[in-house]
Amino acid sequence: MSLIEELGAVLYGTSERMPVGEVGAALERLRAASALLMWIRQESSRPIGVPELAGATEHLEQAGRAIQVAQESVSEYLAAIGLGLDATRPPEDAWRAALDEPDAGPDQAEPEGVPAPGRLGRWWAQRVTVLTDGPTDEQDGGQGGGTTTGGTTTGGTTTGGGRASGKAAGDRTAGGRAAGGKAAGGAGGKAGSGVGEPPELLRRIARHTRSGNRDALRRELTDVAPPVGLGLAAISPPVLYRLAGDLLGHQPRAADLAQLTNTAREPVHALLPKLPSGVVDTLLARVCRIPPPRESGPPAHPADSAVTGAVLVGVLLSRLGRDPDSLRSDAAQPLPRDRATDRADG
Amino acid sequence: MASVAEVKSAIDAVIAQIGEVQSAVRAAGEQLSETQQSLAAAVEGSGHDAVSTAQAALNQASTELDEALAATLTAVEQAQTYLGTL
Repeated sequence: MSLIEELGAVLYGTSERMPVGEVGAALERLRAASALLMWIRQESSRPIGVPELAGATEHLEQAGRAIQVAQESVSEYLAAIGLGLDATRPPEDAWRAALDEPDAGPDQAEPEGVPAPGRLGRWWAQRVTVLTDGPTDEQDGGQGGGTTTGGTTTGGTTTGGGRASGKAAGDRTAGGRAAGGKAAGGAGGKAGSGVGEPPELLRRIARHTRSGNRDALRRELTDVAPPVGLGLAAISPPVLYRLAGDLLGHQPRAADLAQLTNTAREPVHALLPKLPSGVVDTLLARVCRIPPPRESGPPAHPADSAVTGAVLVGVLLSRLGRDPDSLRSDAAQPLPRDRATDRADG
Repeated sequence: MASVAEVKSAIDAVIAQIGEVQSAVRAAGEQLSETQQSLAAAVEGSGHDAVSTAQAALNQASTELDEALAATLTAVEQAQTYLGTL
């Protein structure tokens, strides 16, 4: 290797290590937190940190753009010295950065005397039950597992609820729940029996979406602690972007919105019949990197985008013919895009 | 109808989420710092405009991450203060 080639390799490696995915993941987590805080403070004259979070979001967006400029400049320099390497291409696994749970920082220590957020479980479970058009007797989130009525009561599930439910319960038992994990820590009530981390929950939701099992989907979601469920909003967007790109054969753009909407809207609403109509449009517009449609009225319920994002991931995985375990950070990289395109067209 | 306990729980959840954001931003900042050093070592002696632009952009990114972190700290303070008034 010549000196120039060696320099090029170093620069290319440096560009690849720039934290594009990490900043993007932090941005999505921040958006999820902001959405919840805005929902909490509706009608309140006290800002409780909303403007600060909006400012933090802008700073993170600027940081992401600045890193991209740096990558483009490195790429330009490589071209200028005769090495045509594209240093702007993100690492192949950058899209999964959001699926890595950050280490718990010192700020997350549970303060003494603060009540556990168990009561939020009712709020979360109620909304999930509404979205999935579940029976009202499951809406009062403190009913233990709540698994006995789902299959037969709703009857709206497309694939035999009973058997699938049993399997889902089995999965949960064997599935290595991180009860008492960081995200679920401090959550009381039924929340304590749920999946401990959003990435695991995302895979489970994707599995139920693929099987079309609305009852299992509802149980899975109502079983988790609200912070874990809300965390889906933070981790789904980069995954959606990647999966949509694989389905389309290129990075999603504005012209792809109609195709993605046609692909995803119906299966999402089959599983979430009571979902407000604009939620899917908003999430897919973000995937296509265009401003979401303006909404009038109060902010959307934070659970809506969290649940819908996860179901969308399941729908796209299903369209790509991929197993939810392909989202694991240690899983092999998915098929190249050109092959995925064949599947999408077929 | 929401109760005070529910509002408190929701704010606790927000604070926990912001804690995760702060961890992620710190991790990104450390990674950014490493790439700044790596880039500086590799391009030492170069006067190329693209190199200067890349370094300036990384410096700006670092500043933005610091400011984002500071803003989240303020937000958490405000949320905790509000919790105290409930």
